Amino acid sequence: MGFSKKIAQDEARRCPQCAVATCLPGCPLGIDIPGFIRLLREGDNNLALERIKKENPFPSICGRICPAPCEEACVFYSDGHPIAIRSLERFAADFGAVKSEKAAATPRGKKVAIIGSGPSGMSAAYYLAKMNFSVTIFEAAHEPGGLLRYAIPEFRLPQKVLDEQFSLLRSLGVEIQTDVVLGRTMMIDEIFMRGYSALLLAIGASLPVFSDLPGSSLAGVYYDKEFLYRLHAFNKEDAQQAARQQRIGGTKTVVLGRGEAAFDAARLSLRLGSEVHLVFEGFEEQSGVSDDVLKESREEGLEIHSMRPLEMVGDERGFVEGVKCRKLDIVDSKGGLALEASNEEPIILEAQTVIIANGQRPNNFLKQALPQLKWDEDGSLWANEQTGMTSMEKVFGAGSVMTAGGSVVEAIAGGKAAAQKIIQYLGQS
Amino acid sequence: MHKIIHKQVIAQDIKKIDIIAPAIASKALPGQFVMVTPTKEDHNIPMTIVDSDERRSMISLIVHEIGPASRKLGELSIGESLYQMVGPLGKPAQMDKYGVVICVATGIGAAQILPICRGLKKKGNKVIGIIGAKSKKVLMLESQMRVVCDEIFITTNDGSYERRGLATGILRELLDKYTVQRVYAIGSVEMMQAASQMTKEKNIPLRVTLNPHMVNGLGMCGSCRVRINGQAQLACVDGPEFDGHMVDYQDLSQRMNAMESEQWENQILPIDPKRTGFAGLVKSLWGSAKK
Repeated sequence: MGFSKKIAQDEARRCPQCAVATCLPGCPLGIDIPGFIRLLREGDNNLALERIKKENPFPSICGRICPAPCEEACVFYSDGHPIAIRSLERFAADFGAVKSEKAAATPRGKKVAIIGSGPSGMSAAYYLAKMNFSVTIFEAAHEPGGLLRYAIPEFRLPQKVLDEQFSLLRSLGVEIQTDVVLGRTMMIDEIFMRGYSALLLAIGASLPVFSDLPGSSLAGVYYDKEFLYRLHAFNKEDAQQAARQQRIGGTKTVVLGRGEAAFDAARLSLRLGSEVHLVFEGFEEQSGVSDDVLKESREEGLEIHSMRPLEMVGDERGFVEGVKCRKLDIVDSKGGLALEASNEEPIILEAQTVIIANGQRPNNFLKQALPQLKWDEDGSLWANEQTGMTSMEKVFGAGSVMTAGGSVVEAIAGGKAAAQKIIQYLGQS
Repeated sequence: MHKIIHKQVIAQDIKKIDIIAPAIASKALPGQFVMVTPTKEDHNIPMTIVDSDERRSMISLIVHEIGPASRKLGELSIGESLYQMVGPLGKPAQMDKYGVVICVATGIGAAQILPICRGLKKKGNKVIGIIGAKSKKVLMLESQMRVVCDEIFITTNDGSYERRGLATGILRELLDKYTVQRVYAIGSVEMMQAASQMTKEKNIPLRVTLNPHMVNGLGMCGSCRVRINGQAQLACVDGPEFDGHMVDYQDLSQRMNAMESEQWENQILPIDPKRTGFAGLVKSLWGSAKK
């Protein structure tokens, strides 16, 4: 929820302005957190926003969906009431105004191509355009935004906010070409033939990690991104109708997995009027989302269980009926408390829809398009740490493709770092 | 962009449309497909590129009007433009000079096998085509296949045209008669499974093109997952053509079945907006009180 002016100021006053700020190292982008909170306290929203924008080009996105690692680093975190840094960032972004941003005056005459318009591509484009490189983003989907557009539900990040960020990029001179697939619609040689001096791969990690649970091929079993994409792609205005048309039905839903995507899918199901159970193996702290999300989800009626899913049970027509799970016992082990499978009979959670959220990995098409690229063992793209360059000359990488997953704020930080590496490279050559 | 320049009804509920798409036409290879969104209100659907002409910068699609989006696509008239089209997607079909090749297709698969036959012929193979259709009414692309293939066999299930029977029956006869280097099969799961068994016995490589339900087409959602050699792969990125002997057909039929519209008729329990939330409760109580 967004803060009102009064609440925001009260919250900002609560910040102790530590001499050695513990929140600072928590932010991957390195935002001057105590600094902007101090400015908010003084009531200067515009200056506060300017301070944030120094390090983060998209505070209205981060202010809504950042997992807020800074709040976990706050001195008040252990008390259970850390300063609501993310909400304050959102307040500054929503109510502050900055002078219209302009690119640097001298054109450099060098062109950079970016593949993918997700958070890392956006942030790299922003920093490159600011340094007056002519930037073109090539996006495979019809609308730019990547997973921000297709996999984050409207209630968390309104499409309008995302559109505003793209009009900012366009105003900086960034060109965005959609419906272009690297290696299919356009080959890498073509990009360099068109005069681009560098190419940034910001394709993210969009491929689901497949589950090996028996029954994952049953009707009514979806992966998290599929579920979110179906509801997004079909009908933006009316999710209820979209669900009916996309044959997502049922009154009971089970979500298997943890992390932002699992909770997004679960909360969207709740909004469709379904009874939702979220199942993962682990303690609540390992849910992979911030305490706020956990609290809000509970308030919305989400039931969270710590169980081990064993298999999905289907009927004779191949529709999922439920998920067989084994309960877990808390046992005392060497390193503290641990969970262990109990000896009780497995129980069956009834469900007509099962959503699997197993994490993400980089899309295979890049391996097909550029077979000469080198990959790390964990499935992420290899790049030289110093120059940021991949195993191909003039080709760089940024965001989730480099880390095989990660949060929005990490992707934005990755794009920013890659932009600096590219500027450094093009400055030399 | 993507203007329809020609449209033709080629069988019952099946239309062929030609679309201006220079970027796609210059890259498309046999076996690849495009994702099409006919109008802004529709979702996107995969369509095999049946023909591409770089000189005239157009591609041809064959539309089987079964769902709301494909019906909408079939309804668009000449001169209108598509809302969106992206492609070519998927890996192109494996193609080389092998010698004698049999291409067998049933139903809408005929539209997918035609560009493969054409490609194989160009490479210098002897191409034998088999088309299976339910009846003469839905048989399509017969003349085009006759031009491309060296020999062609047609079967209809009801015997309304040429031979009565199944495409796999002819395949068996031909496999006994000729030395065949390779078989391509596209169509129903049962047909591909039968073809897989026959070719396995004779140790002939088989390529199959799978059509699981696709949502995104770019390898993002995982809807078109199929099991190949025990591993989950995506038809949109890793396929749609796979080694026919590696495919888990049971899993495939389950996945295909999962999205069959008739299946969902009885299954779906539509989430009733009236029943949800406090406002819904009041409304439903009010409704019952009025009765």
